[in-house]
Amino acid sequence: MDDLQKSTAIAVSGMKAQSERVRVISENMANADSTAQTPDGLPYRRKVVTFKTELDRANGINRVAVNKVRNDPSDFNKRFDPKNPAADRDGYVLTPNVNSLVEMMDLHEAQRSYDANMNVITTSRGMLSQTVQLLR
Amino acid sequence: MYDNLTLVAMARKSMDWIAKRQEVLAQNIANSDTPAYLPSDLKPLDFSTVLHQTAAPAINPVITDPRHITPAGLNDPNVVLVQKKTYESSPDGNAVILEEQMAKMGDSKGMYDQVTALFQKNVALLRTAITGR
Repeated sequence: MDDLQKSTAIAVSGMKAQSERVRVISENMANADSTAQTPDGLPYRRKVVTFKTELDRANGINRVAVNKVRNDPSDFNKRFDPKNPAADRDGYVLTPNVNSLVEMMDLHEAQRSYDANMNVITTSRGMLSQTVQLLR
Repeated sequence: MYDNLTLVAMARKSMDWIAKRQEVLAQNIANSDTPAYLPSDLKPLDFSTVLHQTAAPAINPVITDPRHITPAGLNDPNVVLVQKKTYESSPDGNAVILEEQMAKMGDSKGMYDQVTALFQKNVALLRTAITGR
């Protein structure tokens, strides 16, 4: 692979990692109200994505990959809802530790990173086709 | 055949450099959310170095013993340097600034445009010399 193709491959790995992040964010958003079924059960726990640099030995490039999807260990929120089947003796229900504002910010960040990677591909492709144009 | 033309050799050198830089910048941008990642960049290409390398190619060490090995990238002019001084870093230790990387990429694109335009001009000149029209 030549350098420009390599840079495209790296950008693609970045886009893949970011889309994985978006998948986890949407999982969090969708489950923002998933409480437990029983009083002693736990509600949905927010998940977070971490990234790592990964050496692609075949091409000698550093790709990016999703390291691990971990659980967010922060405390659950509480809501007063005595009619809920998951309510404890005092009438409180544990709700997921998902903050939709935080998730929206994360989503925007992922989108920006995705755009940046997309720009890399566009620029690299432009340069490559320019080189081909030299043959004319 | 055209390798003897200085302009062609220099164009190739700087196109190689830009392509390599594009790879390094792509790596930085892809890793813009990786914890503890420091961006890198190529050593800037300056005119005198390129001229020296083009005028007098680097001397290669001779293998006098079968146990000698040639290190990879011995005469590679494209040196990748990790950027130690950065404008800021996020709490997770990542120091990639997307704007900075995009600006660098724009720079590279401009340089590439310039080199290809020069190359095309040179080829056109040659064509004029050949055809006389």
